[in-house]
Amino acid sequence: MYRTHYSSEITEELNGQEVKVAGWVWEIKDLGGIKFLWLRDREGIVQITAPKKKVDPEVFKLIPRLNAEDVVAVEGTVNFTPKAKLGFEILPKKLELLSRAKTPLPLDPTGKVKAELDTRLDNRFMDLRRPEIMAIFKIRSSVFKAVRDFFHREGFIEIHTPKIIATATEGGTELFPLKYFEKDAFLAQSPQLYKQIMMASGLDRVYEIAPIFRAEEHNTTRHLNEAWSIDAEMAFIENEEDVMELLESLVAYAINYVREHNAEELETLNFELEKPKLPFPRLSYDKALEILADMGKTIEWGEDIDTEGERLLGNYMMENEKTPLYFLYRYPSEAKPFYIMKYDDKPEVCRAFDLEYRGVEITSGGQREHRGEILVEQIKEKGLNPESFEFYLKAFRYGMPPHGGFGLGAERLIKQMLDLPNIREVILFPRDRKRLTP
Amino acid sequence: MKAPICEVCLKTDGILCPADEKKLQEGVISELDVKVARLLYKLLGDVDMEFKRAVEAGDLIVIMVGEGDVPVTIGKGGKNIKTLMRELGKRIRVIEAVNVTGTEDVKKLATDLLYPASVFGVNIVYKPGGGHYYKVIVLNRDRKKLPEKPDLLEDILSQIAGTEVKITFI
Repeated sequence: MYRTHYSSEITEELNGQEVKVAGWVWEIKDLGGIKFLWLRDREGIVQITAPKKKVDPEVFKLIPRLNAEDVVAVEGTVNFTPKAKLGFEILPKKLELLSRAKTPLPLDPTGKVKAELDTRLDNRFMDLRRPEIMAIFKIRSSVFKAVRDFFHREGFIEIHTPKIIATATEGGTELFPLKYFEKDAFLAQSPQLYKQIMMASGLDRVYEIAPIFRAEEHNTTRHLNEAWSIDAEMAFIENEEDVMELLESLVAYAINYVREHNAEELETLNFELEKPKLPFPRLSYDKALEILADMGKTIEWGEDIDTEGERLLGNYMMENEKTPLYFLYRYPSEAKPFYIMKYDDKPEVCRAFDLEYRGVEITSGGQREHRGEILVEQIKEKGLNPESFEFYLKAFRYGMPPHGGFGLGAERLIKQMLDLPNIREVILFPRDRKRLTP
Repeated sequence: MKAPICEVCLKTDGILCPADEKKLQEGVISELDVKVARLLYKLLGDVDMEFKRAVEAGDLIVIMVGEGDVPVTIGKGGKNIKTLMRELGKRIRVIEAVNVTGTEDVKKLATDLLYPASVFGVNIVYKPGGGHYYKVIVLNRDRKKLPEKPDLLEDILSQIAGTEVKITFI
């Protein structure tokens, strides 16, 4: 290997020892008798110092000929000295140019020259060379690891449901149609019905992390046409509160994991991530409407709380409860899908909830209706034909335990966690209304 | 003036010629199309414009004309519209006709019809039992800017598009 250590792994214990580092040329400085090369790797920057009298003449000659973003490998001796900017330097014995970078560069990886988001996304490989962009994706990786760790710790089993489906689920959705041999098919918008079917299997607690596809033509900073969804479903719950408790523990675990394992990345982003306070406040839909009315925003009972309403509530909860995370629950039944259980004593209200993070919905969930006959009625109430759901309803006829779950948008979670302005910042190659490549 | 009925039928007020009568019986054109075509001819005469069709819902009639023909149809200071309103007893909107084959067409149509409210986007929603409808998305803050009630606009849009259209607020 061309590398024995990443820049961050060079510690004082290595002083005087030989190491091999490799990466991209960040900057070159030529002071005549001494030349400097700052090399950037995934974990940071390392300074290569080449005094004319101490290094091989070939190495000395090569340094000024290097261009920014050339790929190089350096073998040399670690020298901890207060004279070096970073506290240490490497005196090179060998310098190898592995790959030349063409000029001009499509982007300035130092970030000194600002680029539009579209230009950055068109050149994502180079965009990621900026430490603050790479930091986002290291945090993303941590979030997914934390989520998997959490689910396994809680006894959940990972499942994988089909992403090519025959009919629209959830009662009419914006889907991407495709040809499946001689049949019409769609890309799945949610694993909802499949994860519920699994509740009749005895797996009891399942989760899935997979892409979902939504053919929404509008372009916003919160929507993607291909996104990653963290879905969970669990059986034998007593009410939706059991699901909310699971969800808040998961989100708090992921945030704390990032705080603990990505301190450096958070510092790179100059962002202070708040420690979540458990339990997250529960705000009923009725109460939310009252708060909004006091703020001068009227929403008719039964209507969904719109983007502006969510933002206002987010500000209110931050000011009054000092928390960016809170639940909205006890929604009107008409505003939620057919599979959500209604309150028996108040059927106009259902056991659905949303988790909000800085005024943006990141999760929808609830207790599902597990009683087959009532479920069929609810399908009809929404103007849908139960026959279209036969493959799903079948699972409710042979012993279906009470259950509930949620779908958590991974990109929404990470965007809101880091308070970023655009969801495209947290996915490598966003798919939106205009963007299909790279 | 070009219309969905022949020149002779356009110029007369009586019964339609056999060819146009057949179109009426088969639903290719409607009574409203005939009525509006004849009224427009009386108002505009042999001008270079095309009347495509008209649809109505509630107390609103939408007249669809050829590309660039909206101003001549409306007339100076809206005088033609005023006459049409008086004759037809309903409110009138004139828009450019769109042959709806996808979301972009519905968006163009909805943008014209929903003005001054703006259209945020148009999606195709697939139904579980097969089939689809168009979902026109309007920002909640524009709800009050809609020129008509949402259900009436949905009705008009559905008639023009030839498939179900729903308006959703976000």
